[in-house]
Amino acid sequence: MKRREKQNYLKRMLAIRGMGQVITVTVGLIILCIVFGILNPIFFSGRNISNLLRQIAPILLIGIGQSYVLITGNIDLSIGSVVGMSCMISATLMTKGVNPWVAVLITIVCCITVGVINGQLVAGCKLPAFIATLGTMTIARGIAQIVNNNYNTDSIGSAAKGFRDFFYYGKLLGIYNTIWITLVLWLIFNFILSRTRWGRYIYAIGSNLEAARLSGVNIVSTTTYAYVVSALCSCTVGFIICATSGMGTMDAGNTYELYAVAASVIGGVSTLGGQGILLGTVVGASVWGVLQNGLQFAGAPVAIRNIVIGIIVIISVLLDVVVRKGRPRRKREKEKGKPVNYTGVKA
Amino acid sequence: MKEEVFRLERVTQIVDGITLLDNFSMHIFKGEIMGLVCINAHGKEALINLLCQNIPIHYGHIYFQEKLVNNYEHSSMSMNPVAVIEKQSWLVEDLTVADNIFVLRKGFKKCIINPRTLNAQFRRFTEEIEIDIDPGEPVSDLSFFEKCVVELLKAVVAGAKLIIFRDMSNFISAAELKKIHALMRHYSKRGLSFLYICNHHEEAFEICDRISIMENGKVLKVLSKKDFRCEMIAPYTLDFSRIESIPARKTSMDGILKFENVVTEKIKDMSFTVEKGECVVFLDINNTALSDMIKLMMGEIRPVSGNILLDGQPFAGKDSGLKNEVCIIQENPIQSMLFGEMSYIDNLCFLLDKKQPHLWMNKNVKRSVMQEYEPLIGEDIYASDISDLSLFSLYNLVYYRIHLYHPDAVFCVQPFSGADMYLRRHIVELINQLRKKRITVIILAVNIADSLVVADRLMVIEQGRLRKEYRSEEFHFFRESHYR
Repeated sequence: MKRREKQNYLKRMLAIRGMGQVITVTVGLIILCIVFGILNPIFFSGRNISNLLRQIAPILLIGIGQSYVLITGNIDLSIGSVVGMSCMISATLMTKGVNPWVAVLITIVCCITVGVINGQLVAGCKLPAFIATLGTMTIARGIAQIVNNNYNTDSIGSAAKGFRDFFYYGKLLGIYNTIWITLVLWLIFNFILSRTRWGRYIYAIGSNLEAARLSGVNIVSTTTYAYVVSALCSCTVGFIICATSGMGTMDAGNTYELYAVAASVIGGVSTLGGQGILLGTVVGASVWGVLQNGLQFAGAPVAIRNIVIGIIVIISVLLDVVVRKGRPRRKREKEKGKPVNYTGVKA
Repeated sequence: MKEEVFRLERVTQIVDGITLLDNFSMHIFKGEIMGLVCINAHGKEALINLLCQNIPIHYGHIYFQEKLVNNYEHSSMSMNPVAVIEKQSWLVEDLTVADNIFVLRKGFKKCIINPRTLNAQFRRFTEEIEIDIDPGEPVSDLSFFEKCVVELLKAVVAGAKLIIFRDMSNFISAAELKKIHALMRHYSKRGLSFLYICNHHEEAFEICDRISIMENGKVLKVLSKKDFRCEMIAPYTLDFSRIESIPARKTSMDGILKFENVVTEKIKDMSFTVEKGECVVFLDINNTALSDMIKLMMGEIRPVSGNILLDGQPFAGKDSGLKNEVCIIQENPIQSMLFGEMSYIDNLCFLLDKKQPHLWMNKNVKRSVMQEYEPLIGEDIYASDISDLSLFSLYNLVYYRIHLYHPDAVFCVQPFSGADMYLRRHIVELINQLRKKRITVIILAVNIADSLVVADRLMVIEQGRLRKEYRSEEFHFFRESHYR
């Protein structure tokens, strides 16, 4: 009996849309880890694993945000700039003597505003997501530059020690806080996406906008919600970068929007909307991090690293397109008993 | 006394100067299956919209459950509890069946979703109607029939008072249609009302309690069950008596197209021969094999075993040098086969450049095509923008493109799908034009519609297998068994 239950559970797990690609990519990830471990045994050292996880955390966070937006059938190109904006606003406020936690709150409000604007432009004004977020990307980067008069900030100082420990240097149960923050946010957003009504609405508008609208789903608020999640995740990454470097840098988060797309897509989130799970984003971000870290250990130059990662992203998107095109239709025989016979011939 | 669900009293609706509904009256009672046979499509869409939403009308009154909800003086724009089930599915493909039915509906308030509870609720419904659908399955994996059942259940759960079934026989097979009819009867006994819209009165006779015949947005006649006879409806319909065509000519042992024990995923050991100039209808009772037949002819798949011969030569789909000798007219060709940005003549000559490589540089060829086809097509051949042309003219374009290209065989996929009576007769004439040019016409259909009017032979496919063949003189045997 228990065995059957286990089998059913396994079946249910495999039936989750996108789980196939997650499993495939996980196998690839394990192979990558083994290969890099053989090439350089330091890869499996405790310190490297710890560093690797801290490297993966920001990519995973922005990947979560981008996954939300991609599942709605849109894209968020402003992620990198919001990261930069978050880093610069919080750092500037802290250098001006504002309490770090007040600075964090003000920054969160600013970033959420960008998310709301994105959502309203895309769903409310019906602008193409690519164009709308391209615009806000430039605006947010501009704000990141203007906030400290086109200069990187000075050190955020010892008053912000609590801030730096909370987001980067501190540890809880021997694990860096960055990883805890990422884990908690992942659990919250994964729960919302997979277990709540809003999660279903996000999938619904990405899969069939008109059907969702006719079913009473508020398209504008749901899309805005997805963009707000994305902005919130980017904002957190901005804090992590600020805490890491102890200052605000204007080009923080540069090209992160592309990393976010890569993490999501490698993990099986469809660029066409309606499909994907956040577990996949974890695997996608891990592949990204392992490749960066492993190739570095293997002594590969940056150019080679970029080429390898680029190829993997293309293969992942190709896989998505092929899977969508050739998804096997269910072949179960539903005709129970004799088929209805109209021809006078015995079936 | 019967409880009334909808009453439309002398409703007139005019949009952009066109009278869509003209003095239209209709009563639908609780638990009734009301039929609507449309002689032409004029006003059909307007009526459906009006039943779903209380949009402005120019004259008349509309009552829902005996309360006035819309009249010529005031239209609230509110929605009525009406669901429409049609070919265009309104389900979210990437979500599960249970999510579509229970979560995606107005008024669903629960924040956290428990799939087990939803599945248990769903099973209560499916056990009642004895249908086996997995509630956890994504909708994209369901067949058309299953999607219809899910939409029906969604409407029931959402508390719809009237469910409109629109042109069902166009996209689900005859066997599945019987099951849908059984479900309609089941729910009508429980007080749900249905409006069954179709183009064929024979189909409506099978399921409806009463039938309204509509033409140009006007009700011509309302028939009660005792009047369900072809002679009662004959004065209002067009003549679709069989058109005698040129007999097919036997060309060789292998005919123009031959299937020899062809096996694919969905086709089981199919063998047949079609002669040059012949018109053969393949009726797929279960809607299983047709998609594979199209894919075979388009070269998207190859037979697992068996051979396909075209004019005695092996047909290898895309790789074959003979591929140009087979054309396909897709279902709803106006959407799928025309190029809105091109002129009429460019659309018409589109295939021709395979035979005339310098066609686009040589204006003389196009000029001569215009001269040749103007008597058949009329002034429309000179149109630079096809978007303003009538449906008839666009159908002319689709079929005369094939006529001009002159392939050995043309596959017409559900040619009468969604067409009203006038258009269907026009399509019959166009198919005959192809036959006059000795082009073999192969009609692939899931319902028989008017295919037999032009056909020389009917092949019935059941569960992917060729079950029975009827020659034209035996068609009445088929009709008797089909509409029994």
